Amino acid sequence: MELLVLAVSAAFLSGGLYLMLDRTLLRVVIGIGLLSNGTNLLLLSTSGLTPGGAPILAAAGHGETAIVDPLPQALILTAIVIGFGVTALLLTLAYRTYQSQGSEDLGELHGRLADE
Amino acid sequence: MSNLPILPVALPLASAVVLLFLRDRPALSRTVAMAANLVTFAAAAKLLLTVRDQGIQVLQFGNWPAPFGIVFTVDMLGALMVMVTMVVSTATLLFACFSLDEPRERMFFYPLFQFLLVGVNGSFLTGDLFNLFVWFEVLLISSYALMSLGGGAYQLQETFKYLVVNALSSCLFLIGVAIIYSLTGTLNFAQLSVRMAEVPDPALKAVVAVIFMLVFSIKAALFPLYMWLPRAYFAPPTVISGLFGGLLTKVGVYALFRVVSLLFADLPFVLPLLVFVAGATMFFGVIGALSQWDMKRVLSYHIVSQIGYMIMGLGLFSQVALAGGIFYIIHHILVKTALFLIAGAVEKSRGTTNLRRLGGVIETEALLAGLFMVAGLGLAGVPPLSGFIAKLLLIQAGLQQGSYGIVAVSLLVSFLTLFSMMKIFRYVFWREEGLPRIEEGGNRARLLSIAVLVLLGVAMGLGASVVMPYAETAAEQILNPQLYVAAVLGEP
Amino acid sequence: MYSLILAVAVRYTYPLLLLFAAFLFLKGHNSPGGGFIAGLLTAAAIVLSYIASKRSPGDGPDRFFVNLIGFGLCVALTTAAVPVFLGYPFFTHTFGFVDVPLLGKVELASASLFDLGVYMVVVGNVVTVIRAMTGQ
Repeated sequence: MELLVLAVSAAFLSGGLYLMLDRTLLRVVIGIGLLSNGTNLLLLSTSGLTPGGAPILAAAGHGETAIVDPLPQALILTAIVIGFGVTALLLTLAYRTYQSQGSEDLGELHGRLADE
Repeated sequence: MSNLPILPVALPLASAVVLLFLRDRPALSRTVAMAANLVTFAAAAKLLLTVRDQGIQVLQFGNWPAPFGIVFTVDMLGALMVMVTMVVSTATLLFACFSLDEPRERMFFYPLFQFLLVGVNGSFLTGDLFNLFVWFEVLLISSYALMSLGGGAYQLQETFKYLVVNALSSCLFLIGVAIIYSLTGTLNFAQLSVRMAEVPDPALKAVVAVIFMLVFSIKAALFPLYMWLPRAYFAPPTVISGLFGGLLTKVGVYALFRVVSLLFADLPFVLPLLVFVAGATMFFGVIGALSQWDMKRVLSYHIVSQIGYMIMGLGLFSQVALAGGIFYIIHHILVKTALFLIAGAVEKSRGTTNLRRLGGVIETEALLAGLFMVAGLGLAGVPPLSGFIAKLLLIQAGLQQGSYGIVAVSLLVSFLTLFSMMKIFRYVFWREEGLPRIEEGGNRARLLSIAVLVLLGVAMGLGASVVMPYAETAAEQILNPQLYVAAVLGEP
Repeated sequence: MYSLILAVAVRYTYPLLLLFAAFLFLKGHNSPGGGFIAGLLTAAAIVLSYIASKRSPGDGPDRFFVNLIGFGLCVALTTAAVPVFLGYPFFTHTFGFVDVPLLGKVELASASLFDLGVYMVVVGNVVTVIRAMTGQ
């Protein structure tokens, strides 16, 4: 199971990196979305994999296997919220650039926006 | 348990909320933002004195005990950084109140400014690795918004690049968090420090170390990952780049100090690598600065170059070197912000920061020229100014440890920095020809905010014996992570 | 792009979505759910109603949602800050049980007030973002 999650995460990360290298702003945004989701999957794979388990379990007196380590899930939720904010901002920026320039291709934009 | 450590975060947050409602009333916004900043300033000062008198302060959120809940751990380094943050942010805010155009002010400038402070202060105070990530994102998202605020196409494009670079480094940060959590089962700095030493596999430790050094090197703009900085800091209005130039990269430097000293100092390759990177950062940064013909760009490249000195202090990792590095950070934040604000004042009065077109500013604004001279010499490290003391300590430490290479590079770079400052002085302030003044009457409040920063920089140099004990305490706490661990987890 | 079918369908699904959001919000204290998810669902319902109606989401100077972010932050921050004045660390929460007729014993937790703040922030934020991007 962990291997599967890791493989999917690796696929997300490499796909995200590939898209980030594109010249089109929208693809860069999608690439970053993939990257952050791949990272979240990686975080997910850390829950319940370690022999040590969550620090809370021992103190609460539950059975060692009763609950999955909740911390990585809290981390992922936070990371998702942050990723949402960043993606929204990126999309807005890309959209505004497209609005004002009529293009979202960095190759085309570069010539026009050469250092002022 | 005192709630003092939360104040530098909670107060700006509360004021940001209030300012959110006041967005249509710029005049009132200015007053509220300024008042909030002064109150936070007082809280930061109180925190610094408490840390000086009572040692490391710990606040456990929601009363959850240390390794389980989130903690704020304030040691001398964190308290000092918060203090300096409040000093420069107050000065910058004053400058912004009297230089920013009203459309930008209405576009949530003041709430975003306070949110930025929330993120910066949170990063300096937190004692939890993932919490550090969250504060980083708070400050980054505010900085994205501030950077793109009301901007034209050029500003949008640069913000986009800045955002992509930082989003990538944030992903790496999270990957690092995932690996370190699966290695040790904790994210609390103090407990991590204990458990990292017990990790049996040095290769895995090295992987984590490399990931975190990469992440913070991007944020701190170290060689060879500094490319994003000069362009990004050129795009927004000068007040905003001044605040960024003074503060933001230093959060990355702070994180490197914290993470390396607590987690990775025992790995054999980390410190020599840092020294090498420090030398390269200094050198290439200053070379970049020499090749530029715009005041803001020159100053941006100097940020890169100066960060090399701070990392040199960390890389040498001795009491003297760390004290020098910390002293350097404080000096740099004050002086660099002042220099950026001077560039902003010049831009306001002449309409450009292009060195080739400026000239003769000294005739009409002699005081500004004088302030630039002092700040520039301070940056280059001419005695008796603050930069001199900081560099002296670093070089002493380098000589003590026989690292002659880095000492030679740092001396050469100091010389080139002086040269570059004189270039700005010669082209902007000195020449006879130059653009006419477009704004009559100069602004006293703007000059005041610059003068405060420059004078504080001078005072740091002349009164180094007052500041030095703080830096030395901070260095001592960094060198002895067991102090930090004991404060958070209790005596073993 | 106005569709009669969608408009009629939304008239019936809208209250259901809000009800489900309320359910998720209340469930969130001890089980999956909570202010964030309920907020997302509410925002989705609002956006859906925009899509179904004839006007575009960017229409009108509606500042309600921007203010909602501020109010939400106020609620959350106040909930976190109150313990400070009572001498506890920041963010300390408490809970108690009350007997309500018909419902029986109900748990009231101060943490759910914080969650309410989160809910308001999320709704305000998501709707503002979508309005900003579809407007003009």
